[in-house]
Amino acid sequence: MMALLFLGWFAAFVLAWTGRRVASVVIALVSLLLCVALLRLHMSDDIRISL
Amino acid sequence: MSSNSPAPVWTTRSIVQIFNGLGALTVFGVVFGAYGFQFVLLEPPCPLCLLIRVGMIGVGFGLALNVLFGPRVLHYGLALLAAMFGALTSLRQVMLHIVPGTGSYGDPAFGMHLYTWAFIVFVTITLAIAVVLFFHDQFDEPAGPAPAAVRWMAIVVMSAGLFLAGANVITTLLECGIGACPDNPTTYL
Repeated sequence: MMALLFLGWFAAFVLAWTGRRVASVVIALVSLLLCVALLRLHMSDDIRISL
Repeated sequence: MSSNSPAPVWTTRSIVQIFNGLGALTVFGVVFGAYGFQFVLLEPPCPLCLLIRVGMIGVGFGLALNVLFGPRVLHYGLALLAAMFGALTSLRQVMLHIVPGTGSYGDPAFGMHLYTWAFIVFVTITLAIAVVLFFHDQFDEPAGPAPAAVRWMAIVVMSAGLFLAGANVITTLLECGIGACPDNPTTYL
């Protein structure tokens, strides 16, 4: 699941380097949104997944 | 270069692009340093540590766009959002360990843990972007081609960012698989 986040940023870098600036920003924003969702998961009261 | 094409000139725009490149290289350097902890000191990163890395790569991506395409408000906005996310994540980890007796994660570097350093880096990046935004000339259309140093900086930061994002896909997959990452990882899959 976490590897998907890095894959999103990897795709954003590829798109940017191939000149697709707007598409890369959109992918980056989606990745950032997924990051926030995953952070929310790790802010659970369940300490086992909160570290 | 033909005699008709204008010579590259150093403007506020190109100076700011170099500054953005140095900022991107700084945050990418932090992620390279984290890899040092992971493979030299054999400390696999915890889930929050990985999210902090994502924040660093996000900040570096926004700054790298400024180098590659020229400074835009959109790129700075993206870098600031990633910095806010990273600061929130690292602060969360600091808070988890701030109570005496709750221990810490990993070895300290220069007296503080990596997540504490990460918080300082994210706040510093936010302040630096605020200062750079004072220079409004950077958003003017370029009068000529960018100096060679800017073009080389773009190649270097994009290569570093691409390598780090790709390397983290592989190492994170090896550590966590496709499910949730273990809270206190000690081995790889």
